[in-house]
Amino acid sequence: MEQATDFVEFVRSRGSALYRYGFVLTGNAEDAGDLVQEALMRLGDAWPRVRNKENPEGYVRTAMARLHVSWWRRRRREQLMAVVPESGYADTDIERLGGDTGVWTALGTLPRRQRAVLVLRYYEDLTDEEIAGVLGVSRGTVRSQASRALGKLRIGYEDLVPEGRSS
Amino acid sequence: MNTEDLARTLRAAAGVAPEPLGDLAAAVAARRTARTRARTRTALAVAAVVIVAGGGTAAIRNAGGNGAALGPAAVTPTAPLLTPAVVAPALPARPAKDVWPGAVFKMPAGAGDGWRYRPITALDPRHLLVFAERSPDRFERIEVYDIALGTSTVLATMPERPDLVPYYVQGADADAEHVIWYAVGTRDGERVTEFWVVGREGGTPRLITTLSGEAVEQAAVAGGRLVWSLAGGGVFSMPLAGGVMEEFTESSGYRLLTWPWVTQKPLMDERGRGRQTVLVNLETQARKIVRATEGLQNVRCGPSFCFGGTVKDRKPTAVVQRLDGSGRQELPGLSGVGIDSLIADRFVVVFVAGASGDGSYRPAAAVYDRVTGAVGGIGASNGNGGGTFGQGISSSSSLVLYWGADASEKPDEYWVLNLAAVPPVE
Repeated sequence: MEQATDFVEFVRSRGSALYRYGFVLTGNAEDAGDLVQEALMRLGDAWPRVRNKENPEGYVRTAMARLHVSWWRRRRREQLMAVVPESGYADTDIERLGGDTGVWTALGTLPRRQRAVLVLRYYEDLTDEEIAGVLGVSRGTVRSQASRALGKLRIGYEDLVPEGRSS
Repeated sequence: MNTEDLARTLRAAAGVAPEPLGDLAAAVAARRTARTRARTRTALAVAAVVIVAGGGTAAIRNAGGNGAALGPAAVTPTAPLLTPAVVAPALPARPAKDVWPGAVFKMPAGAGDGWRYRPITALDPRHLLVFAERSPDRFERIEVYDIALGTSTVLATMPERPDLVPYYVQGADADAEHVIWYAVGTRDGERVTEFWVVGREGGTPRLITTLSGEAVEQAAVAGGRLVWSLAGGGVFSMPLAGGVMEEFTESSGYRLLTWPWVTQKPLMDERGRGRQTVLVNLETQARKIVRATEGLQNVRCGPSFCFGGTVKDRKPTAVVQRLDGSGRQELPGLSGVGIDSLIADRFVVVFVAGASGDGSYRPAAAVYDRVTGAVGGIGASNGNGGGTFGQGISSSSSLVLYWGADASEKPDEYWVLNLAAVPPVE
């Protein structure tokens, strides 16, 4: 199937931003690339409808959030091994940009849905109502997941010091 | 920490995300082509290693076994994301069947009724545990394949769960007396996980318990108990007869490695630096501290050794050492990149990156035996620096590695390396 020219244009103009969103959602480059490609492929299939009636960027971001939340099931089967290259992006530095690598690492310990809720709330700046719509859950679930995730982040952050666990 | 720190960290992480190389639109088109093709024929049930020639980026995926919601993915390479920086040196490996002649054999890729086999793990040097699948999403039976006789016997048939659709059977594990597996389904919009058990002599499976909430990541059976860990961390157990679920004290943030060992999750951070600092034996409470893994990438540690990689003279060099950092050995020619899980506290599978420039033997991947130092090549190589192989899908890192006996996507036979048949060292 040929890809519509304006779809290709959309991918070229928005790919980088979508990839960054994927990186924040998944926490690693390999999964981010996989997620973006999968969501864009689905957008391509729905392109004639989405282009005319919906917001393509919203569509693909929603698809990415939902795929990410459901992906654990696929991963178990696929046994996709994310592999970090020998020369990674060592020059890049979250701290340099004002972030906290401890927080970033602690995010990696959250279940996918909890992580997605935090990303949608604090990176995408969505309301809980909007997050509920994106993930297809109730607003109460969004709140409880966010609350649990925030709670875990604090605890999880301290847990990263293993000596503290042994006593 | 407050939520503003979190928001700033997320923005910073977005800012450091490595830019994907290549044409994303083309990668999406290629993915759709592969997907369309996969829908019209059963995908090869062997993992594929996609290796950037000469470099370190590799991804392995099991080609046939994804969930229905996402559709079957044949070998669908993710576009390479990072520029490879190292060259592939000569590989000190011979084919696995030359290195371990008693452990490599051919077996049929499917049962007599046409359902394909998906290896789980080895029960012993002679017997393999396999799923027979109607489709990559639907495991219908657990069978035991007898290598010596070339025949299989049905151990159990998967129960029908019409009230839990969609329903996926996931990881399995076995000990001397039982085989357990877990399955995920949806009930009233909520995800549930079921644990099932059947005796090693076979029979009707019995439901041990049903959980709701967080996804199960690892499961094991040992000494009459079921043990599992959750994707978000935490290790639990329950008698196989059912009853009270127990959470291991202070196991939050830990995962089951291979019973009885647990360790922190994730095993490494996003840059491949090891995050394991301690391994705990849940039976004895013995603790092993991991030391001296600084400077290594793709670090993973089992109860006896750590494995990782470094770059030396612009060449990938694998490093193996004891948990305390002693006994460090470098293995030139092997990269540290491979399957995350160490197998049976003895074997490591590494991807073999890059095409052979000189026509020398170059498999898709190599198995390193830390006890003898032997290295055996596995997998079907495509000659362009890529290739395919699969690992059995048991919850604990499987003893079975397999690949197609011919180059087709749906081979009639598999080559199998049964690591349970590699002789112990006297």
